[in-house]
Amino acid sequence: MPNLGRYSDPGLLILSSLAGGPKHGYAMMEDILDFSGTRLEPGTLYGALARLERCGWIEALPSEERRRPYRVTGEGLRALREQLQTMRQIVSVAFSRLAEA
Amino acid sequence: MKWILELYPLAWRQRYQEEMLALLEQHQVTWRTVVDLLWGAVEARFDPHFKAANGSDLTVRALRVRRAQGTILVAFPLLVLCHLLVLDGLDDVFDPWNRGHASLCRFKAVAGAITAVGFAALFMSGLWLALMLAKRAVQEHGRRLVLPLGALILAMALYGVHARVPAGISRVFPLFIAASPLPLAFAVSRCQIQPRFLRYALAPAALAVLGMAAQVMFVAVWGFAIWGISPEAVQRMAEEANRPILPGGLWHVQLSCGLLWMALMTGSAAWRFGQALMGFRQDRTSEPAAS
Repeated sequence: MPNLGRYSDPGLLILSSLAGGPKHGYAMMEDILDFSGTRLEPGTLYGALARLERCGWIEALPSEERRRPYRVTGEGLRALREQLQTMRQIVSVAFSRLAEA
Repeated sequence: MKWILELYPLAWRQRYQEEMLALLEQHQVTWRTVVDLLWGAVEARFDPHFKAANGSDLTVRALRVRRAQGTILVAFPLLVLCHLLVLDGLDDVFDPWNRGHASLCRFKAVAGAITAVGFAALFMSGLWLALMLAKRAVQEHGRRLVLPLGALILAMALYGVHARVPAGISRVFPLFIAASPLPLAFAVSRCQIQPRFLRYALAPAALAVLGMAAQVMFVAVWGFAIWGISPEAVQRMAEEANRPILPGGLWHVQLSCGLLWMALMTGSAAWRFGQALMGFRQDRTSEPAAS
């Protein structure tokens, strides 16, 4: 999996948001705030979008006025699934160890 | 908020600026947004992807080269202006003291020679660029530019003889020199430029940077040496010359900073020339292979 650096967490949030359907930048920020409580700022959002687009995990759709929607690609969905499975495994192990502690 | 987006690389702005501006119109901008955008701009500047995009995109490269030309055209008359208005006068104050210190005199002679080469190179590159670019600009913008171009050439000619005319009149020349190339620089910044056009500008621009850097170093070292070795002598000399020494010192510092800034700008321009030139050569070498 390509290294997204400090954009790996925003990248995951963006992929999760776009998994629900194509969105433009502002709609993504609002959606991410709703489901995760994280307020992404525009610099971070577009830094992550640029990297995700370069990885081929998302793609830009034709502009609507000045706003450009993005959608997740098949490759992006696979990457999101892998990432979530890893996280699920971490959560499961952590919970079981927490119960034993 | 558009000013912050100007800090991003051009390739980045071409791709994302419009949609980001649209987003920012809806977004509540706080100090966190500003910091986030500034940090994003720094990261984008260091992102190899956007660097590579900048280097390979002919439009981006041409824009950078045009800006560099504008910088040279504006920096040259400003440098002459600073030199005539400030440095000439200050030399008079310290000359008696310089003559009494042989080592400083030798240092001044060496630094002066380097600076003279730099100034000559700067003058030549300024003149060369001005003439070549003016020709191009006149071709594209018509005869409107004949007047500023004539004023520029006249101003340079007058600068050559300024020592032989009364001081009162010669003081007007720098303003004339500073003002006349500006319309030309503006026009040049808007005309179409081919990279091959700039191949002769690289060496003079690099020499000019060396000259300007030498000038700044000389002023700094010279100033520190005089103040460090004998501040009382400087004070006494200023009293004898009946000129306030503190404003003179401040002028020196300001001028040094100004010169250094111009040297950096010119250096950056020379670097861009180099990049454009290399890019052009690569294009030339890859063309036959591609065909």
